[in-house]
Amino acid sequence: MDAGSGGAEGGDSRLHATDISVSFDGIQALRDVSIEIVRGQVLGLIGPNGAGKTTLVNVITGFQKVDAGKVAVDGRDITGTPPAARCVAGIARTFQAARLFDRLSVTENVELAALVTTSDRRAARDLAAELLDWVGLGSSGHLRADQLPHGDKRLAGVARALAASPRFLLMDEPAAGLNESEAQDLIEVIGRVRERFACGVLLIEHNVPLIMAVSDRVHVLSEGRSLFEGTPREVGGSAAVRHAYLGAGAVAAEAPASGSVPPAAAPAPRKPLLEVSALGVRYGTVEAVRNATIQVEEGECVAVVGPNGAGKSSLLHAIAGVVRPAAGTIRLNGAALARGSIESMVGQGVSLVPEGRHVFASLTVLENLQAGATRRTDAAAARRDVEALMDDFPALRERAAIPAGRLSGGEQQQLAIARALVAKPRLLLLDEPSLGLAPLVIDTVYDMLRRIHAAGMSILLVEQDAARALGFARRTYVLRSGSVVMAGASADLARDPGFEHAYFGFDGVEAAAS
Amino acid sequence: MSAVLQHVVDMVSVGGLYALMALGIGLIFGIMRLINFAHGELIMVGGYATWLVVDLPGVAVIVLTLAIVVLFAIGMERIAFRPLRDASPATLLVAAFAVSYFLQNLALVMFGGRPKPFTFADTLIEQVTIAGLRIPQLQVMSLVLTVLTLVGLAVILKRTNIGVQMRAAAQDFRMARLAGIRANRVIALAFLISGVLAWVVSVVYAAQIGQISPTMGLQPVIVGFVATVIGGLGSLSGAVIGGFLVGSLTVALQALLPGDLREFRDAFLFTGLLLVLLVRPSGIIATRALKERV
Amino acid sequence: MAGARSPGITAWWPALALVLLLVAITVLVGLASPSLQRVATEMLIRVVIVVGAYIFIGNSGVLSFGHVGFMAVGAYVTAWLTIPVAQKPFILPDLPQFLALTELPVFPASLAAGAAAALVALFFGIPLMRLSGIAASIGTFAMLVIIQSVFSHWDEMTGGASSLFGLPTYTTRWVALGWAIATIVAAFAYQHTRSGFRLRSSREDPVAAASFGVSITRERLVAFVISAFFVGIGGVLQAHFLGIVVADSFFLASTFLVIAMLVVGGIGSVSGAVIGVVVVTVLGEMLRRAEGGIDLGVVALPARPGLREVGLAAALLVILIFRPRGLMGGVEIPVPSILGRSLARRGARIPTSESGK
Repeated sequence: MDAGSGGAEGGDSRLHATDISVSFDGIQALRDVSIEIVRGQVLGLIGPNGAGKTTLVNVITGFQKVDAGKVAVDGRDITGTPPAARCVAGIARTFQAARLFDRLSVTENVELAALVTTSDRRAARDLAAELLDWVGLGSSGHLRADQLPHGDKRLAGVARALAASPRFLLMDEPAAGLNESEAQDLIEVIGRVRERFACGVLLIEHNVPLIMAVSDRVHVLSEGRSLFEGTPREVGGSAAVRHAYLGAGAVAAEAPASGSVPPAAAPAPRKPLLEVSALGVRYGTVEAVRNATIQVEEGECVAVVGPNGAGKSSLLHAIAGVVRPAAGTIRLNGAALARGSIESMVGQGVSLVPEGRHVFASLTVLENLQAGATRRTDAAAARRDVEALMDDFPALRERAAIPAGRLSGGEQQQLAIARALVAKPRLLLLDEPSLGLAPLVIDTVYDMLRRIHAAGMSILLVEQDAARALGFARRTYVLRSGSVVMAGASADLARDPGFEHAYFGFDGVEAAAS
Repeated sequence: MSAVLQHVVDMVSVGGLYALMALGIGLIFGIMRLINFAHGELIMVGGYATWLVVDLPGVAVIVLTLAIVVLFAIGMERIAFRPLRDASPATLLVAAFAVSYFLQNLALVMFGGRPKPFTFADTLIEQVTIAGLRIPQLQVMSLVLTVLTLVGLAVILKRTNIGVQMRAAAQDFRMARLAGIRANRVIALAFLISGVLAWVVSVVYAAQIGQISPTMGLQPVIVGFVATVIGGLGSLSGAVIGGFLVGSLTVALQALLPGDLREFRDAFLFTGLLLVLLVRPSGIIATRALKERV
Repeated sequence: MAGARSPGITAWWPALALVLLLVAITVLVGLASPSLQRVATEMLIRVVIVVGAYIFIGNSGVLSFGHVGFMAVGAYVTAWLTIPVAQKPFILPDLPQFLALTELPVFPASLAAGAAAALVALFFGIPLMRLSGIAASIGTFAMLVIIQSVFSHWDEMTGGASSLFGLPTYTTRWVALGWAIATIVAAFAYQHTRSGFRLRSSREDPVAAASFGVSITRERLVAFVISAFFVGIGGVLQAHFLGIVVADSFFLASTFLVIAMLVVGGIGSVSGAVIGVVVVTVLGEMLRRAEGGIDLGVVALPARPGLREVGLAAALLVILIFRPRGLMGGVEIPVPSILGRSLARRGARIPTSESGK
């Protein structure tokens, strides 16, 4: 049975996004990006966190205004039209977070999309039933959407998008949070979508084996720009692409990049400061972290690396007390961390520098630091520490009276780190400190971290820039799909050909693309 | 000329009062995303508290009434709003509405519907002559009080540790907690300050209208609310600016509108509010309070 | 697998149950005192108002503080059209000629009044429906104040702050019941339309809804206008129940009552709206008896007006804290198991989604 006008036409229908430039909140999210989705083909879209992938999808689906560039379907310009009109023009999408209509039934969810092409409720309902059958949810139609397990929600989202008889289907990280076998099922569904519905598919994914297995072509974004486009094999073989993902200096081939201090030979083991055992973290039905065991010794610097969606942030959040672990224990200095309010965690010696810096924009630099001193019991000592920090990092001293919102990205990162230090923590947690910063700026930030570490601070660092992390931390864990897949001295990992396998989940890009 | 000057003085004094009302609401909204409709009832509580203790010496009246209003403010947070800390903005709105209604009718039950006369500091009705203008002592007092309160608040927010914490919490509540700032303490303090602000307004406003009734808090809270939205929900300076703007606008409308249209002042005011909402929903000082991202 | 079965009888069960409930109350109260019958009539009028408000608030998820304004429109328009021509010069001496000389039969007048309310909703709705969340709620509140301010000062047309009297008091409990049933049926019917369906999807997730072709502004406007019609009718019924129209009665106290009834019953379903009305009315009646002073044996509580409102506000807060989805929890009256089993045997699908489909 045909899915409405999707049918078997195929033909050479194309969606063009040309010279797209977008900026918001002072950040250039996309710069002169052009992509083309051809009906009947799958275009993979990859790139590190913050590269602009979701922004591009938002542009195509009408949720983001462009500063420059246009979007056209079969030559017809649809730039500036509202999202509802884009759907009528033949564009449908699935969301990272599924975004089902929670209190409607699964069938109703799909039925709503079917109403885009038909006004007959009965026909819409029939189509919905058929599509749900096709994705394997035939018996779940009557359930409320929020009662579905996580993987099924994803499938329902796919069925819903297909019900709109799209000519172009945009899928935003459909495999996020799925385990290996669920991801396999998904690959299969996407393959069948392309055959049966003849729509063009744009697939954003971090699960590189999946992208490589399913895509006809792959487009790589990095820091808002198009880096590369080609077949999966070409992309896999490109040094530039691996650089974008793994950081300065392709890890498996070379020694750590120059400019970073090679980690010293491992000193005698000291007593453990942080012990995380069999940690599990869940958000609703999604298992973000599975059975993770991590250790940080007193005075040590440890990194956790892994692709996006690996669960690195969730791991940090569990340690910092932002989320309650579903399983496992966390001990600081031998004592289990008391699970109280978020603000009490700082009092126990754990200080988190969250992803995105989050400085208090309307407060001055000095006030930001003072805010960090809230938990200190000795006010005079806290003031001295603030002064000392500003002495150590003159950039902060110079800008002491300036509202933090006016600082550059790198300066804000330094301020966020300094603010966390004012609380005099035993353990400093950092969530992706290099995110959104230019390489030279990242150098400055890491210099600061080096000096703090040299002064004796224990650091647990989460990074997407693997090379940078390996060059900085003494030991590194590799996290993938929520589990620790590799661990050891950074110097060893950097030389280990198995590192890429652990990071990406397969044995070299070429193998997966063949 | 002196008529214009008189109007200017009016604008400043009314604007100042409205700024205080707006601050009481804006302060709470900034930290908790809650529009405290019940703020007007704090003003009413101040009024009735004064009526109850009016026979005591002046200082005692001031101390006692201030304490009672602050107690109600902190109490309403503890009892009604803390359990709803994580609820949706719509739920918080309804809850605030409910608290307001509760207190209004409680006053009705306890004191009856007939307004009571406000006699505290009756002598202030007399006028003084300043710079050729005849101004009631009351207006001078209220102006002084308003300025002192605003300055005092600014000092607390900018110069004290707890003030820094409050501003941090209003900026980014979750990050503030991550930095160790105690949510409960900051929120309780915000309500305490809003209680003080409400007390100042109650003294000035009750003296102006000369009486105390269960619904006396309605007009101030509506005004404060409009001022906060126009100035920008979530911004303290926005609340102050909004207050002065609305105050000046009110005086201007009163003076400029032809007689028969004067009664529709509220309609004009709220049409203005609607326009602001449509054209610039974040208010004049744009903050993130109302924005949503995909 | 064959095509999905259409909802059929099971979708209309909640409507049937609610209608039966109201009919039962109306019939039974005929055996009680006249004052209790008046309470029942008031309750049925409130059903019209609250279910009418639900048509917008429940389906869109936008909390409107302005619906009582539509009551005012309905009440004043019906006053203009039904106060006997002979009396108009005494009550509204400055009324324009064409109104002063008009006197319509009550039914056409009520329809005209409802239509007028719908027009006012269209007028305000076109700009307002673009707003979301708190901004929308604030906007509807602004609408309420504007309407109230206009009506209470537009002396020629409304008599200003004084009451308009002389309206024919035709609202018996049967009339109110009739309109209550009509409103309930309309609410369910609207939910089954494409527009209602799309609106509810936008309530769940506006981003996803927009991505799938839903024009959120338009669907909200449709619901807003339909909702205003019925709320306007509610105002009409109330005006012809009391025989007078007072500008002041269409402001905050009424708004609070409507919101309280919706929230207590549960914003998410028609059943919630109706149950909310019934529960709040009963609670209010019990408290009104207490207002007259009760003797608990150990202690005697003196008579105090305002006690009823205090109780209502306290009840609302308790519900918000402990059962925020309301008494019905956002679902319709479920099909009782005996009925369910016999229907299942005949192949019907028992609905589990909140819409009752």
